[in-house]
Amino acid sequence: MNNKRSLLLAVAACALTACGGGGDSESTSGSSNPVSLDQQYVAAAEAKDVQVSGSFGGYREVRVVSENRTQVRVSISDDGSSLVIRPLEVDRPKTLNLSLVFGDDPAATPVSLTIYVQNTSSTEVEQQVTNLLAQRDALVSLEQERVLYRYFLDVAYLRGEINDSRKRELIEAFQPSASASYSSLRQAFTELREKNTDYQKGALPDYRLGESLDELMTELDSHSGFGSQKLEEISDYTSLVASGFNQSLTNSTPEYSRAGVYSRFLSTAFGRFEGDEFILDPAYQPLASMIRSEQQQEIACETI
Amino acid sequence: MKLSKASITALLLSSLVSMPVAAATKSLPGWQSQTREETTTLVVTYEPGSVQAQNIGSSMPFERIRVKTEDAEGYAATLRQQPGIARVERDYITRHPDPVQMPAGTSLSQGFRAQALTGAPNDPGFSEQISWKTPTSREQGVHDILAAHALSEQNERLRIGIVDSGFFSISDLQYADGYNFTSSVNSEFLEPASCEDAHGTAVASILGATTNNAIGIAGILDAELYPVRGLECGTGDLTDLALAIRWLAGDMVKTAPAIDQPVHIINASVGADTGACPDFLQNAIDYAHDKGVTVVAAAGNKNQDASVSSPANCDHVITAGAVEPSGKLWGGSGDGSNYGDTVDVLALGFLVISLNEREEIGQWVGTSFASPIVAGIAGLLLQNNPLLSPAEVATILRQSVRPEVAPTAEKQGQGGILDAHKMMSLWSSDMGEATPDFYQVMDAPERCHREAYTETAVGSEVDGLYEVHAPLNGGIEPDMRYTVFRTPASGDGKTLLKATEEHRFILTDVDTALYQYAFNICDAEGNSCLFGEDLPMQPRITVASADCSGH
Repeated sequence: MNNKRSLLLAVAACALTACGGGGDSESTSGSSNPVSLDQQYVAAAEAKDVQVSGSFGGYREVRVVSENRTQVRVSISDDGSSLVIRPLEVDRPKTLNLSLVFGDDPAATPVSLTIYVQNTSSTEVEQQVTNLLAQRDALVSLEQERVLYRYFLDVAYLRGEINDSRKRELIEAFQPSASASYSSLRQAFTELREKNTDYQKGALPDYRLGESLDELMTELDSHSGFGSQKLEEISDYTSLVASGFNQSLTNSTPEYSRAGVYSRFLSTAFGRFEGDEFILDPAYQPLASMIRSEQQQEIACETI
Repeated sequence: MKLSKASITALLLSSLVSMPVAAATKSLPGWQSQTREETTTLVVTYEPGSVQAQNIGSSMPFERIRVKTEDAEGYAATLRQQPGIARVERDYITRHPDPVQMPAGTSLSQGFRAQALTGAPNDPGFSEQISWKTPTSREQGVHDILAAHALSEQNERLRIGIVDSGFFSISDLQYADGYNFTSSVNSEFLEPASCEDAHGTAVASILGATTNNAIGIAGILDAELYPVRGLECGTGDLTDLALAIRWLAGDMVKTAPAIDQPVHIINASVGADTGACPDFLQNAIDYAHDKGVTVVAAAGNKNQDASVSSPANCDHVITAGAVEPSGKLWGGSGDGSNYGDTVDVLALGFLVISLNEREEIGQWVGTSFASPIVAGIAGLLLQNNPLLSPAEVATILRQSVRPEVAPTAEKQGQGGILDAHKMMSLWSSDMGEATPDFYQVMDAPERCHREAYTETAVGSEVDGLYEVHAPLNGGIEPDMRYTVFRTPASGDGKTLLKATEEHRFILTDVDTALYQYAFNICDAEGNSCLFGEDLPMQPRITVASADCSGH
């Protein structure tokens, strides 16, 4: 299927050259009423109109003559200045290579236009997939939990509760790869990435992407438990900073938040959302720079 | 029908209208009349092993396709759907940070007398190279480079890559090798005489002009210089910068003859307004980073947050902002140094002495000329300590700073002014290898989340908490201890403060104004010490860096 689309695109490219006539836009040649479009490629949302301006030679009628004519509706705007295209609903991103004929002259040379149709009804799923894939390394390594874990141990070290050797020994004990869910989480990420690639290239419907996403979320929840467990093990030190931290940890549930971040620390156990901004409870405010509440937020310090 | 070796790209190529384009950029047919500003160049990265990747060959990490700007979004979206396409991004126009006219009537002699230096190079321009001077209360925007030189041994002769344009042949510069990535037919890195922009010459001279040859100025480093044209007389494509970086890091790029070894440092006094570092550029920088190359870039001269400019906003880049000789951030209401958390260190970027295409000594202004100062100082560190990684070099530079003078609330987070002598004092091989690192705990890079410490359990005591990090040197005997003594500033009465088996430990209630601290390796009572004399411990002084807000 991919090759077929590829061939169509290639043919369209060749057709553009054949009928391009040296001008800077698509046009018919040999027609008494030349038609030209100001764009050759356009992105459009499913079931939404998109307009392409151009010159239509006075024609008021246009039709799609390529095989995909049932997937799109085309018309010329009332003022005759633009081509109005409405792609039908899709279940995956699609590229439609349209051949358009203006007027009713059977000998008219078709005009080509390529439309990329966005599956906007799945925008949320697409975004969640994109965000989670971007956070893959951090999620697999339990970066959020690790940053907090190291911080609490460091505070204990500075307070004289533990020496440097003990601190490093406990830091070494934080090994996400020892978690039972580590391998299956990595596998789930790999599969999601592959499914997403196939979906973006139009080879997979959106519900299959959704299924893969659900599987990943299950593995994430399981893996997150390891990080939580390690923090519970050092509750003597977390309580030096915030006496209620361990209880909040117990009450927290990892989730994918509206901030596009998967975390157990953006839950009601630690604060609340005000609009799109997460506000930590006062007891945890000093830890704000270490708790990722935005996708691009760096929480790990540099070391030499 | 199954496509065999004929890929989408190949078929498109067969239909292209032939037109002169820079550096292997394809154009879609039908609009050869479009100007550069009416077009957008898409940067297409192919999946490894894909047919398209094989077609363009292993010497090109991406392919560039120029389209009408109106078609860019749609065409890019269509391209992404094709098999073998990993990524589609746009290219950006790269320029030198906007050239700045010298303020009328500005003269170096205004309040800055040439320093009488012992052992100063004999280059005629040296007396005006104030960045080499020792800082004073009035001149904080200088870097004590001459003093640092005395501590920097050339354990390895460095190779320095400079990506720019405006390279000219002058007697004070010796180029080792170079290339031109802006053209598919001309590999010459020297600029044609028709170009009046000697930007690259000035940058290269600051870094590596021959010193003590009674010609021109003194370059910070005695190094092999590799100039690479990534722009044509001041303008270029960001993808050419990416190719140049790869080539300097030892990658096979296009038909450029490979260099023998990666360079040690790359300086890029160029920039493009991108909003975020494009993947094709970050990949090139990451490639260089993984090869052990330190990349230094100018922050830009638009008096704005540097996070919107590439390569300044890319990871693994040391971004240089500019200060005036006083130590204040350069600029006012018009042009000025970019600022913000993206800026790592500050260096002199005002009245910087360098050479033009006629080898005339002149004054240059902008972050373009702060960047080679930073790169040169990084070179002093690296030639003395060749095994340091780029990450270590970056961290050491960020720690070797003095506070910016009169910072404003509007432009926070711009690092500090680089101090070359302070840096080499800590990292020179002349230092006793047993001297421990001694610093206020919040100066440790792993404690960047300041509020988490100062507003919680450590808070009230944090100012007096210092960490001592003694070098392991194979450890100590079982009955010996890492030991710290404290002596009042008056000099009477040494006290054993700490004796521990731990080579990294905390001291509490430290007051460096009232006491002097010294280190030794002794028994548990502080006797039978290894070193005849205690080693004085000087606290590492760093800027209280911007809070690691992480945003």
